[in-house]
Amino acid sequence: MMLYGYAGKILRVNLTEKTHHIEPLPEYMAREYIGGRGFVAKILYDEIEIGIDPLGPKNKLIIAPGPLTGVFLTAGGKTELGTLSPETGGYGDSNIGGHIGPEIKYAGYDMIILEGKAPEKTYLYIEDNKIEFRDASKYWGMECMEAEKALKSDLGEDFQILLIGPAGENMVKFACISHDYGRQAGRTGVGAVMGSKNLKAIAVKGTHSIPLYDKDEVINIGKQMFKACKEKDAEAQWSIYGTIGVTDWCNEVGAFPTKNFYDGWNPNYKNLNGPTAREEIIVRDKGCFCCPIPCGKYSHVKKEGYDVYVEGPEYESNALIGGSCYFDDIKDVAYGNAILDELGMDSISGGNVIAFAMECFERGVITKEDTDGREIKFGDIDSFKYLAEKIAKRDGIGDLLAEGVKRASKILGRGSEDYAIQIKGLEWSGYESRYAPANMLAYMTCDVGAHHNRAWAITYDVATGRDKLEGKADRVIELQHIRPLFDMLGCCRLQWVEISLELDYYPRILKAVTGFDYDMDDLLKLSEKVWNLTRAFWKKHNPDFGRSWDYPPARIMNEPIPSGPAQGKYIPKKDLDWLLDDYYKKRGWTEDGIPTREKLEELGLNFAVKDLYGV
Amino acid sequence: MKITLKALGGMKEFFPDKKEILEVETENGKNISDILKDNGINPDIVMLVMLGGKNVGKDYIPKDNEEVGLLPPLAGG
Amino acid sequence: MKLAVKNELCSGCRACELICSLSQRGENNPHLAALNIVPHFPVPGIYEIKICDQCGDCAEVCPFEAIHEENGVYTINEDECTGCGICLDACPNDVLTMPDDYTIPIKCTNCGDCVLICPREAIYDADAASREEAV
Repeated sequence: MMLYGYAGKILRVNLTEKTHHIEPLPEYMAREYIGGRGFVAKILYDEIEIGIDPLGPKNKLIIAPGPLTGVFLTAGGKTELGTLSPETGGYGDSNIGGHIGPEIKYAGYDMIILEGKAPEKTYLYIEDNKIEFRDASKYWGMECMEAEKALKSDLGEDFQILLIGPAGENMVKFACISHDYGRQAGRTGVGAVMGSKNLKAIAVKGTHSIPLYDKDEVINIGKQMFKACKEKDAEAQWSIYGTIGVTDWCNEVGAFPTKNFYDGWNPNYKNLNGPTAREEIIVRDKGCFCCPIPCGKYSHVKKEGYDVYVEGPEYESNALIGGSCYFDDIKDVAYGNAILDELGMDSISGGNVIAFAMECFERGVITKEDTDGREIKFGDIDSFKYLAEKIAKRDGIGDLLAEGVKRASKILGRGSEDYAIQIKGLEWSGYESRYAPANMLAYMTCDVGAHHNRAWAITYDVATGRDKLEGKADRVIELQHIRPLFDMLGCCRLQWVEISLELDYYPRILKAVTGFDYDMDDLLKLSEKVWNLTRAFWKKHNPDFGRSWDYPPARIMNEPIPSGPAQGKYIPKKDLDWLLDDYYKKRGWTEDGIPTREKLEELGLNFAVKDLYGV
Repeated sequence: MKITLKALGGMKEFFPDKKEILEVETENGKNISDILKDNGINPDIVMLVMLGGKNVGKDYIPKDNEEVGLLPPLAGG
Repeated sequence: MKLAVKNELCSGCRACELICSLSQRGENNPHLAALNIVPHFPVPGIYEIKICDQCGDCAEVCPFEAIHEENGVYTINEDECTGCGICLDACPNDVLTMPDDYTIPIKCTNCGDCVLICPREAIYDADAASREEAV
């Protein structure tokens, strides 16, 4: 049966044997899992064997655009990558923008499955149906911008590139995959998995058209979406700053991570905000495929000691570098962002890990003996650079820190686990949530670890009562269905999230592209299915997985925020338990946070029942 | 005097009765923050106050018949 | 309608390429567009919008005189074109292309759909702009 909106093919690559196989995309995959995150979750669940080493040849790296990727609508440029995370041991995924997803669709693939391990340093060359395993020794060791430039120069500017930096090559557990001079699939260590496969890059060029079910209607609705975005009052303000625009507000409500999440605001936040960035460093608005409201800000950062270009800092890098590592100059933040981007490390985890090291040094848990005689300080760009480079090379203390804060703190001991800011092994993203119970719950229950991609609820907390616990679970569950739906469709959610583009465009354009007649409720049900599937994946691969994996570290549970607008606030464990109880009940999960047999069957996940409950 | 409050971005959800436009009576000399409190809207959820395409901030004192747009925080991605 | 560009406003989204391929070729495929966004990264960090500015160089070199001008717009006559491809190299902006399966080059027809879709006003109608200025 002809599938519209899809290429209709899966590219399965065996790096060990240097062979590949093209499989047809089964229709049920498109109809039940849609694409992107849905494909990633299903393939990982079905194909990853229990007990494998995430950095061994049996792990797989899945790259999946969606039916709306590469198609005419606003921001159809998003691609999901996924794997068994080497940092958490559970479900890992990471989304990337830019132009890679569309190019994969034009090359004729809905999904690329990377298996095995290449015998030599390799890059994968994909030009429509021409697949080659090429020698990457020329590029191995290069930092990200240099490597991308070299590949495009050698292959042609019309190739889109995914690549790793030195951190990925050295399998730093939070290494990212980079693309388009400043975009990343940042989280859960997807770059480490790519490095473990001896794969430096994937270069893609595609010349095919994407078949559309109702081409005139796609053009019609796509034009409506572009027009609607242009007319939104919020559009102009958003496009000037992108996500860094929320820096002021987060500080003003005490939600800005500060000094390794010790405090909730940085008193120098005006030196780090959107207007300061715009004035001092931003040179270009840089966006993803077909996006009318580019959030990317390309910056040129010059100060005594450095002169660099970087796409950023976006809010997250600003929060984890500017806030958590405690800087007071946007230029230092941007430079720190550039250092991490060039080495190929997630700036959220990287910022967290470096902040953790800074606090450890303050407390004498790490000393000059560990740091080549160097003093490590919060707010010191030389300390930041030193640590980043040690980590990327896995040299000395860097080798320990490259494991992520959960493992590093276990080995360092001396109470450092209390301020290793992570959940399930994934470092916290940029929102201090000790005075935001819905947001705290969002972090606790996110299916990759402490990340806000699935649910962001601070405004809801502020609007409905920051001391209130009731109603928060309902809101988080709602967000956890709608937000990741975009990751299944293969397009960006920020047009809806940031400027309120109406949600009903999406089922309409999906129908015009694919012919699938789903309303929003149908789609949200499919998203709920994937939500339960990823939770089941965690349990399948970690027999002791359950409620205990959802808790934050001791600092978050016990230490009141010391200063600023949220001074004195924290959420004690009994309240976190209340939130979890409410959440699990409403999700149809056990008291230990595992989907019940009934819930799995209701959602058509019968195949998971055996894994979780025996026969 | 009368001013108009317009819900921008996702603000509609937090307006009374989830309306998009709110016409309110107020006194001369009151700033936006206080006007919001008077009308049951928590000023903490307002990030930007838009007038004529510019952010005038929550301390802004509106004139009679002005219309301001209220934007909640950009949800950081 | 005279196409003009402001490169500094371009964010590299390529919506222009996609609407061109859809409206002119009936295909969802930016590689079939009659214009091209060329990124210049990492330095200086700008997107160059390559459009057909109706310079006529292609018409000048065509050995079969198959490219005709009317109202300032150069169009390829499909019956007269032999697909020799000599015009492709003559285009100073590299926006004349002849992909596989094509026997006639893809050329901009000045339809203006790119102007209408560009969310950044990086591609614009210079005639409309000067009319506005005059007012």
